[in-house]
Amino acid sequence: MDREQNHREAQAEAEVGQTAVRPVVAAFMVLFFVLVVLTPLLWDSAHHVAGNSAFHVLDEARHLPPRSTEISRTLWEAGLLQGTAQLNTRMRRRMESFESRLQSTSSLRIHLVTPVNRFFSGLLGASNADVYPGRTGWLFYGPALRHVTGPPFLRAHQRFEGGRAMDSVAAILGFQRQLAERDIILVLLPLPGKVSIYPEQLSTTFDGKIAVQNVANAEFLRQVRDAGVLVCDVVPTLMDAKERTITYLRRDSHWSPLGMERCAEVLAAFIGEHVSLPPDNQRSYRRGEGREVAYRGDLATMLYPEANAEGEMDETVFTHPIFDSEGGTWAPHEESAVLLLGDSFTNIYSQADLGWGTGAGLAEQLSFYLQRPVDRIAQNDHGAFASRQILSDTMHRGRDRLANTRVLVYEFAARELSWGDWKGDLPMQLGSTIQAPAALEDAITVSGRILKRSLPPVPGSVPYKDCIVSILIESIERGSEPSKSFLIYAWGMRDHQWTDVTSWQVGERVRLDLQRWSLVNETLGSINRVPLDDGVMNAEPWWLTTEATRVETPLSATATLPKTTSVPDDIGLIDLVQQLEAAKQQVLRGQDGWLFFTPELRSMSVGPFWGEAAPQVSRARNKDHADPRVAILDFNRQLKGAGIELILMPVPPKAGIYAEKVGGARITEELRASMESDGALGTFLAQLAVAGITVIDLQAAFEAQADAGAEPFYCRTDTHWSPRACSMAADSVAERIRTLPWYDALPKNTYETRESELVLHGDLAALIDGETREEIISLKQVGVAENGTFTPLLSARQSPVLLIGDSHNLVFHGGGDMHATAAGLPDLLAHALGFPVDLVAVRGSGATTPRITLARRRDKLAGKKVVVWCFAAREFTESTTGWRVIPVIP
Amino acid sequence: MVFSSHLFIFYFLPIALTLYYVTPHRFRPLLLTLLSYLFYGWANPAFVLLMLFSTGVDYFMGLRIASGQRMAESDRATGQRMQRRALAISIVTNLALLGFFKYANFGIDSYNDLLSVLGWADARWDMALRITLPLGISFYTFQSMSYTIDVYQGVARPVRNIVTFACYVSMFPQLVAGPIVRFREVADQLEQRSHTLEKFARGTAFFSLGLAKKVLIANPCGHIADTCFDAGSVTTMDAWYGLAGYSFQIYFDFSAYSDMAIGLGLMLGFVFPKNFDSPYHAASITEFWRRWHISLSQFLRDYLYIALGGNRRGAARTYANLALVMLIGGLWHGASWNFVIWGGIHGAMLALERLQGKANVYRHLPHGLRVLLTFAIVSLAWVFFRATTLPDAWTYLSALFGIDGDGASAGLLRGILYQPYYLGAILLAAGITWGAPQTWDFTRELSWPKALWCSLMLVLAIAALVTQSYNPFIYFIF
Repeated sequence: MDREQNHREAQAEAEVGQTAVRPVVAAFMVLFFVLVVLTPLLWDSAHHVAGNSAFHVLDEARHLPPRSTEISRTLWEAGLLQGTAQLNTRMRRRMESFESRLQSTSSLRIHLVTPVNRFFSGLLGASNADVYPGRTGWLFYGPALRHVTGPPFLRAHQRFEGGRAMDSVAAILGFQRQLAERDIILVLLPLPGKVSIYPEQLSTTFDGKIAVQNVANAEFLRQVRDAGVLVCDVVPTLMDAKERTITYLRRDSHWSPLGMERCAEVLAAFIGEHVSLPPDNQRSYRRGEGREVAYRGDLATMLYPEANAEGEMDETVFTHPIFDSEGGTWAPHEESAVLLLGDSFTNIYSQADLGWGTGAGLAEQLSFYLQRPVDRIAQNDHGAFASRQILSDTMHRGRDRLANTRVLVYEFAARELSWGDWKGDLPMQLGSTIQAPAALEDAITVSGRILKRSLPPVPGSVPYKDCIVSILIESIERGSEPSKSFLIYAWGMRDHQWTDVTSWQVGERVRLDLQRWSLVNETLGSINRVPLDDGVMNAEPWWLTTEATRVETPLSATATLPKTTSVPDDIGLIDLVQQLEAAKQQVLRGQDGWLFFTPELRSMSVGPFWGEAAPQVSRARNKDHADPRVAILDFNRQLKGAGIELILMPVPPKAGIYAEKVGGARITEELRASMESDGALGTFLAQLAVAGITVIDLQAAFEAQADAGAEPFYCRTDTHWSPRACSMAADSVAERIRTLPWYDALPKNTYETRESELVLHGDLAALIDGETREEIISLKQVGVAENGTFTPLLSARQSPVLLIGDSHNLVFHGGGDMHATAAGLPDLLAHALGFPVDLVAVRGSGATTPRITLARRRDKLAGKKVVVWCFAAREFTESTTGWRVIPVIP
Repeated sequence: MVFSSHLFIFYFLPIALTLYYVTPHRFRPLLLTLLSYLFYGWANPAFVLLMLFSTGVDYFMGLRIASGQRMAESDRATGQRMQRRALAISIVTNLALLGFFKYANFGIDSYNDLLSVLGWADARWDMALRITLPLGISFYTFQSMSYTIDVYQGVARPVRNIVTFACYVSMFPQLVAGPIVRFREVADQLEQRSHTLEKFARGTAFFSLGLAKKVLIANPCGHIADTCFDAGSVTTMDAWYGLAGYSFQIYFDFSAYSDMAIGLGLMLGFVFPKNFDSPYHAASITEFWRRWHISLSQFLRDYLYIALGGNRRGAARTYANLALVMLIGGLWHGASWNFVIWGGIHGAMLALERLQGKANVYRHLPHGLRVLLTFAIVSLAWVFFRATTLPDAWTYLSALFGIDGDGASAGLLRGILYQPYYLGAILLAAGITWGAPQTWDFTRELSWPKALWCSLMLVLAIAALVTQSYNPFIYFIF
């Protein structure tokens, strides 16, 4: 044995230890290898330094090991064994999160994934784990395909697998039993994946005449039907419809509008046949004309995330939005006798974030075919439990969502039968109303320690681009006030990128600005959410307002403000701001019902805010990004290099235009002085103009038209401007654009307008305890009118005019907390120009984030002629993210 | 941490190499040990404690055995007793660790299944917690244990420096999936080794070719295998296609890991022994085991087969020993009856070939046919290795012989699998297996074309890697 051992060693030494290689070849190999393995580290570091990436490996690696205080506290609280186990679990999660972020944010991956997939998948037919290329450009979703080709999903020995409850039949029957106790009929709507209906687009073995399903499908239907559950099986419908039309999107995982509408019709007939619903003659619904929507499917995005040729992967469909009898867009009604639980198949034509338009989803179509209102609870993905979980949580919190329900339609993707977590019997009992920790507050600030959190999926591994994560924090005890737990939802992934929230670690202390989830549930509730891995979802959730809005938008400000008295005549602006900030008072009550935003007043009090003064006066956390001039000039330089004109349009401060409404003689005088042309703002804008930037001076326009009696330029109770100011801004921009040489050659449309009035309860008013003041403002909505249907305009990615900035671009346009739709700056500008504009606007700071979004598009602003940058002038000093230089056109 | 991961290739490796070469020679074992513990602890920090424990026990038992040897010179009986005790503690500790972490779940499940069959379901032992298998425990316990055995047998010198011993046990290039390097094979290198440009260059060649084998061949072959083995129904043709996919996947996966381990070793100045010698060139199962996972085969032969008496106690005992060693070898790979059956098949074949001796059935066949027959037997045995459960294995075997399968959904597999990428991967795998030189031979002389080829493979593999999700090595789970 020993002799042989020596022989092995000698052989290894001879075979590997001795190598015939010329020194120059060896040096090349070593250098090349080192260069290749070092490239991503250097590349990512360069991106980080350039401000184009928030994640940096060295920064985050420091947070991996637990700190000494965390170790001692955990061991003290949980004991040696359990404490060590807890620390170990936390470390593992941090490391998993770190590695996922490292990979998903890697510049190498981001730049290579599309061309490599074009070669391997597009040319050679390789699938990645989640997308399978089919014939003639069709793409198929991996989990849906593997559900069909996989083993029977009813295998008895797999009741639990990977922590998931696999018994779909038990969960459905349990759900049915609970509904039956309230005389509610359950209708099951399992939706087949595309591969079931179009197998011939994947394999030539099929002739397209038969549907292909998991081998257990028939047995599943038999078991649930035998137990008395009504099942609306739409497979025959979809097979029949495919003879006449395409029923699934070619490069998306969902059905086509026509496929969905046909199924909604069949579902309505099925309900009519099996369920006796109480008459409802109150409302009627009508279908609008086909609205053309062109979008790149979710599967195409997963496979080719960086495909940037304009419209290269787009697929065009016609959706049919549903309107009520008064021409209003369809909305769910909680008092309806029909409740639809669903997933992204329900949302695909309802939720703007999914990209296929709004107002034309499954609930809308079902409403149309039933000619009665429908209530809807839908969340993208996790159809096996997510919608039932939301219903269960809602009921537990004391809100009886089933009070009027007579029939509940439960829609889910059939693939969930193989891969979903059915969670067993989720309780549907009505609980007593749980008081939120701060019962009367809509917005609060909480300091605490993170106890748990969930992580979003790795970008590109799921067919959706946005995802909300859950965080559980424990507030810090203050005096006699005990600590409390807060369940918080926050963006974990936006536009296929992980957010900074994913870098937060368990045990870390944070200070968060929150608003009540119920306020945003209507707009965000349908977006895919990753729950915590236990049952704390019964707590009243809160929504984390974005970091940038922590100071900048009043929704996140500390609530419950004292009712201020009028401002004394002798107090100066700086003193007033200091007093307001010391009292954590975000809103100043001015004269005649006018409300003013404290950060805006501060911004006007600081004087010059660029150059050397910037770090002293800016709120930017990183003082390297304090100077707005650097970022603006750089952006202008980039645009100029690409032949694009920048139009800068800061919205003047309300307190400057309406200084007399603030109150206090001295303050009024100071505010007016700050708005003079030699004031800080005027000087700064003049310098930019000298530097060659087109600046639209709205202050001059406002002053020129400040006729008494006309509608004001700002909402009295809101941080934003009024529709009148929007209109003037749009006209000013359009006037400039019309002078540009390319404008005349563009085809123009004529859009319809309609006047309406809006009762507005402003965001500033919402912050004042007991404030009920409302204001009525007039709107001019812009859209397309067809057959009596008024359809708002959509943002147009291919437009030569790009509008970027903060919520001044969204107000009266974005709906929800933006008050109205179709009447904001983008709409009015489209009306004035004769074509729709492209819009990149955020609710937080308009200083840096919109440019990061543009950089992520990676299209180098191809096809753009003008970029209009519109934001509140207070951003010059108050943006906490600051003014970073972003290589939008590298 | 996985060699073919973004974290390892682009962060851990460059940082580790940089630190290694800027550290003075005398501190390099300590640095390597720390890096290896970081590498190992990345999967689960708690596992580090387990490895530390195993390392500590064997280090001290090695010293104890050495003391016993010295004592035996004056008091033979006491000295030998001390040696035997120390060896027993080492072996029992390591096997107990392995037994608990690897086989406890299997043992309880088998016990419960047996009670159910006997109708005594009430006596089942319901254990709420499942024990997590620490990464690479099968490899490092064997490696660590071999040290005390070698010291006991007097074929290795006891190590005085615990850092040196910890470095040997934990060395990250071969920690989690071998090769199982015995202490005496690297003892001298741990103390002193050469670092040359040629060695490093050859290391990069090994690593690049290994990464290419893994990403460009093993992974697509694995996709074919996964699709077929995980399918609800599969046609006979697809079943054979899937089996070929798995045969090539496991070979290229494991071979790739070994190449990368050897390459990393070379970059750090170590020379590790060969672990593969073109196993699919084997013309019999006996020869297959001389070529496949050589370090394990030799470990089992030296420490188990020979300890059981080898072929010195008559023909019947020899056959029994062969079968037993292979059964244990099967069980070493994984705690399930599938692996026992897989080991049993190989043990039976080894015994049969020995029994036939010169009348061996292979002798009458042309060499090519013998190789093909051996490959077929090995591949059929892989069914038990790959299938998740025993019933799954039987179902797949039925499909292979046209007894079962061919449901409607089976047609979809053709659309997935008969794509140029997968067909190309299988053909390439077959071509390399039977037509290309081994990495060892290919890299013995590195000319410009070979250097460019290795560089191209590295770039292609990395490009393909960034589009793939988590793709661990098969042997990581053993």
